[in-house]
This record gives sequence, structure tokens and C-alpha cells, in this order.
Amino acid sequence: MATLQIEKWERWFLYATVVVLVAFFIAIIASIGEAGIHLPTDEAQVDPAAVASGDVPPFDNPGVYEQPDGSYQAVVVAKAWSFSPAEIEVPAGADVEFVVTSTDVIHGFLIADVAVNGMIIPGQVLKVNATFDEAGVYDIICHEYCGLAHNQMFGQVKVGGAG
Amino acid sequence: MTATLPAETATKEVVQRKWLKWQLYLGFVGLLIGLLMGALQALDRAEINLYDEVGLQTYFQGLTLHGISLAFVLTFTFANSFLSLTTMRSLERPLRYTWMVQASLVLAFLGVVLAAGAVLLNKASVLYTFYAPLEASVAFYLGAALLVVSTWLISANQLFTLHAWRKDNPGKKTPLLAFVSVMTFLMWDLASLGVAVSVLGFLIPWSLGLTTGNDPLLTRTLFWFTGHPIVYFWLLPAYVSWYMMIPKQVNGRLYSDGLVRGVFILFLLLSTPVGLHHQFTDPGVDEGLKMVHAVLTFGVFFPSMVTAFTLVAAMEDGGRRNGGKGLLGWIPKLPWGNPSFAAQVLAMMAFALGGASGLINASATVNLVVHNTSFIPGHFHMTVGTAVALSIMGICYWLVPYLTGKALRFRGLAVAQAWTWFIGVLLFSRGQMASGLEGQPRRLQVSEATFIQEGWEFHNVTTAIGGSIMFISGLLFFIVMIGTWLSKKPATPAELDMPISETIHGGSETPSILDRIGLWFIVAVVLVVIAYVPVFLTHSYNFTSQGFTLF
Amino acid sequence: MADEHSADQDADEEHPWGTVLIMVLFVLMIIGMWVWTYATLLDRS
Repeated sequence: MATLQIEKWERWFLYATVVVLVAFFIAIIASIGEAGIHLPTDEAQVDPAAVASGDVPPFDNPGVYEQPDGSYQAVVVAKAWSFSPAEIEVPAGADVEFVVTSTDVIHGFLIADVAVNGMIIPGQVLKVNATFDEAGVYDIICHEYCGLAHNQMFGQVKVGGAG
Repeated sequence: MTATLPAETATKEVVQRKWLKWQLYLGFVGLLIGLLMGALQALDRAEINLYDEVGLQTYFQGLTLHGISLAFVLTFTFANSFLSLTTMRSLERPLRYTWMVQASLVLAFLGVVLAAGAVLLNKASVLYTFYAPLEASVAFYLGAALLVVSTWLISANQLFTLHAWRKDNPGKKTPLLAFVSVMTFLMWDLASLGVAVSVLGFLIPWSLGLTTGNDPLLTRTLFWFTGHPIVYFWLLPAYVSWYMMIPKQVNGRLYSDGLVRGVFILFLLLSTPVGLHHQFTDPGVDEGLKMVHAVLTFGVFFPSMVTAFTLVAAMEDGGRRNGGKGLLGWIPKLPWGNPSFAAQVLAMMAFALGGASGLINASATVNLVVHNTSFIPGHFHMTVGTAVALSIMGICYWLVPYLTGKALRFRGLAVAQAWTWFIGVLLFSRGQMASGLEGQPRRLQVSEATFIQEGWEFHNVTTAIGGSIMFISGLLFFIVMIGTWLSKKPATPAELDMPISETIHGGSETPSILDRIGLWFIVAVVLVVIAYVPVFLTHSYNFTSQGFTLF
Repeated sequence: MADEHSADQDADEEHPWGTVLIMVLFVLMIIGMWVWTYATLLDRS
């Protein structure tokens, strides 16, 4: 039988692939530039042992603090196997910046409903942001294996008087 | 092939084939352990916890065994064995140094004993990623290092053999099957440097107490330097079979020799300079550098798209040559009764879904939806878990007869094995991806977790059913293999040779630049330097972490 | 390879229509999965 004319069609297919990939990439740039969604970046380095002994501000006072502009900063310390504070309370509509580190091993920081997703790496400071439009209770789940009680490690954000 | 070589060379080949056969069997041990642990994990998803009953301390001890047995032992030993045999077959000579073949098996075996031994003693429940500052026993890190060295020996042996072939065949292009086999290992040689530096330079001295502080982000970055291209070290042996054997098995032809070389060159270039896409959510790594790696990652998606079109076209060619008419009439004319074909074409179909989910994972900000959720194992059970593992099983359906001289037994069961794995993984990955999108984390023992949401339970049961079906399918594979091994029936002459594809546009049409392996390796190094030197220069070194054994 | 049965050979055999169809469906699947996940990101952020 005749040889299939593969070359022409494969070439078109690959052009289409490139177009689709470029379109996806533009959408990704838009999510950053237009929607203001950011990946975690390099913020600061700390000594985990010093954090553990309470010598490193702001981690010597974990908690949620209202900022002058009406937004909130939640300072969180993760250790095997809990978050401190375990519960964070904010009003509905709050813009929250989470500032997080670990005193021991790598932990995770997942608040799925608001697309907050970061790694908590000892020695590094994680900053992630979210706006909690709807009232409710949001779980903060540790999504990186951190030892025996990893399956029970979670915190909560209580929004708008819920919980 | 053996009959045409002088007696001494023939003996050398026989000895090497024997040692490579036993390395393949070591891989089967890895597969079996992986399957058993997988069964436990699947049942746990349905809240059936059997870890105490089988004598394991924790779910995570089992999960570590699952990861290392499959992602290090099965995959490495298979690549070592298969791509040594393909090199020998393609260059029509034994490998240059028999001692390297032997040493590769010895080191791989020692590596398994040390690493798996440490895990079984619960001194290394650190998972396949072994992130510091979780600290394993030094035996674990040594075992992993030995497994890597076993692959370097294979690569060196391939290169020495190719060098000798070139001296005897001046001006000729590397035969295509040898070319792709060598390129796979060259890609891995470059890729493995990250984990080698991490383990030899940092983790082993640290676990021996020779250094005090660890920089967890540094060792994690070095792990992921290797951690992305390792998936191509797993995948490319399957691609070798898909390109070089499947067209022959379906009576089709590969479109172009040059195209296949181009694909493997792209993998050599683009597999490694992309590792930050596994660290999109890491603090301490600049967002701009993450975006550079995201662009390069989109690049490495491209050769797989070429592969998809080329392979489906080769199968259409074969199906039509077998009499298929009309738009899709060639599909029933494919050799579905051949278990090697069935397994691998189903593996390709799963890979279509797996690859698509991989593109989602790689999409920078989109990664925020899926990172470290159960979407991720949903993704990789379709890629390494099926495209690779099911292809390995499919390849063994001709490779084990090839190595043992025995005919494949229970062919019908083998075909059923392929279909059950495929159905199982579709259910498994459907459950995992759905629960992941709803926020369920990965690496989770569901039966012990205190934050399981109602919406996740149905998906977890789906995962449990799918995983259990995969386990049963794995047992079917072993029944076929054991049946073959015990069989008295000799293999047919066709089964004693490798099925090797013909090309429509053969090697004589390929531009010789596509054979300049050394040149492309240099380009690959340059790309890695561009992608990673900024990362290591801007990294804020922070060796303050002590070790923790929280298991 | 020589053409033995040119008598009943139709134009379809010259083009890999089956492959083209499968690849089009494949790309549509990729687009569908990707857009759905991207929409999830925008919805949650």
C-alpha cells in the first residue's frame, strides 16, 4: 500500500502543539500579572534551633496580627506535629499574609480552598497570601511527610466567626 | 547472531547475557516488594489497615519500600539489563568489559540489601525522596549510591563498546537501536550528578556525624536536579521499545530514523535543566528562576508529543498493512492477542492521560492547585506506574523468552494481565486525582488521618479498588513469568531474536549531525549550567539543620 | 515497498487519518484538563 503521508500531518500537529503550549504560557503569565497569583519566593533565612528557642522575631510570637492597612499577618511556626497557632481567626473578606517556618523538618502548608500551597523548609521563611471571602472553617493541612504523627498534623483558619 | 561470532566472543556474550538476566530478576524482586506494599496502601485507602498484621511499624516504612523498590530497584535494573542487551544486539558484539556487567549486578544487589535492609529495620522511613533533615541510617544512603553506581558502570560499558565499534566501522552512523540506548544512559549520567553530590557530599558525611549542620533546601534542590530527569531514565527504556520494537510487532514501519535520533537528542538536552518545577512552592528559591525552569519544562513536553504522533502513525501503518480499512479499521487489525503489544499500547494510552496531568503540574501557578495533593500520585501512577511499569512487563513477555530460550506460557493470562493493570490504574488515578483536586494531601495514611473530609471518602474507595486490581494484575504477571520459567517448551526462532523496527526513511538519509553524540552532550551540559548555576549562586547557604529520626 | 493492490486503493490510505483524529482528540483532552485546572486556580485565589 502507499506510504502514509506522515510528514505533512506530523508537522501540522507539532505546530498546533507549540501554539497550545504558548497559549498556556500566556495564561500562566496572566495569572501572575493580572490575577496577582504568586509562587513563593526567596524571603529570608533563619536558624531552626534559634526559632525553636524563641530567639527569632517574628516567630517568637506566633499569632495573627492586624496590619495598619486592614490586612492581617499570621505568623506560624510548624513543628512535628502541629502548627502554632493551631487556630487563626479573621473576619470574612480578610486579606491574610502567612509567614511560616519550621523548627525541625520539612512540613507542608496547604489551604486548598484558597489555593494556598507552600513548603515549610527549616532554615527558610515561607510567605503566602490569601483572601478569605467566605465565612467558614478552613483546614491548614501539612502535606509533606514529617514523621509518625504526620497524619494528624493540621491547623485551622476560622473566618467570620465560624467554628 | 551467536553462531557467526568466533567462539571466545560467543562465550563472552553468553556470560554477559546471564549476568544481565539475573539483574532483570533482581528487578522482579523490586517489583514484587513494590506490589505488596502497594496492596497495603490501597487497602488503607478503604480504611483497612493491615500494617500491624504484616509486621511493619508504620505506613511510611511501607511507603518507603514501595518507592525505592519500584522507582530505584525495578527501573534501574531494568534499564541496566535491557539497554545493555539492546546495545549488544544493535552493535552485534558483546559489551567491551564483562567485569563491568558483573560489577553492575553486584553493586545493585548490595545497594538493595543495604537500602531495603535499613528500611526494614525501620531506620530509614524517609520515603523515596529522603528529604533532610529527616535522617536515615547511613546504610540507606550508601545503598542508594551503590544503585546509582550500578547504572554508571552500564553507561561506561556502552560507551567503551561503541568506541570499539566505531573503530571497526569508520564513517558509519551508530545503528539506531544502539544510539537510543546509549543516549538514555548519557542523559542519566548528567542527571544523576545532583543526587550523587547530595548523597556523597552532604548526606553521608552528615549521617556519619562528620558534619553538624545540613542545609535542607540545598540537598532538596540537588535531589530535584536529578529528580526530574530520573523520570526520563525510567521512561526512555520504554520509549526504546515503543520506537524500536512496537512497529515491528505490529508489522508497521517507523517513519524516520532521523526523527527518532532528534527525539532522543531533545531528551538529552531538556531532561535536566528543569528540576525547579518540582520546587514551585519552595521558599528560598527565586520566583523568576522558577519561571525559567517552567519555560524549559514546556520544552521537554515537546519530544513526547512527537513520540505520540509518530507511534500512532506507525501503528496505523501496521494496521493498514494488515488489511485495516477506513478511518479506524486499522485498530482491530493490530496484534491485540500479543501480550507484549497489548501491554505496551495500553501503557501508551495511560501515558496520554499521565502526560497531560504532568503538563498541569508543570504550569507554574497552576501547580498551586495540585502540589503535594493526591493528584500527584494519580499523575505518576499513569506515567511511571503504567507507561513504564506496564511496558516493562510487556517487554518481559518477549525478553524473558529471549534470555531463557523458553516459550512464553499462559499467553491469554498475560493479555488479561495487561488489561487489568490498565483498568486498575484508570480507577486508581481517577480516585487520586479527584480527591487531590478537593484538597486531600498525598503521602497520607487515610485510616489514621484526623482531617479526612466527607467528599474524599468515595474517591478513596475508588482508589482502593483500582489499586487492588493493579495488585492482582501484578500477581498475574508473576504467574506468567514463573510459568514460563518452569516451562519445558523451547522458544520459537522468532522469540529468540529481538523484534526491531524498519524505518521508511532510514539511517542513510539522516543528517550526520544527529549522530554527533559528544557534541550534543556538550550542549546538554551548557543548558544545565545556564539553568542551575544561577540557582546555586543565588542560594543562601544555611547549614544550620540538625537531623531528626521521627519514625 | 511495492504497491500490490493499487486497484482498490483509495485516497484514504495515503493520509494517516486515524492518527490525525486520535491526535486531535488527544490535544482537545489536554486543553480540557488544563483549562479546568486553571479555572480552579482562578476560582480559589
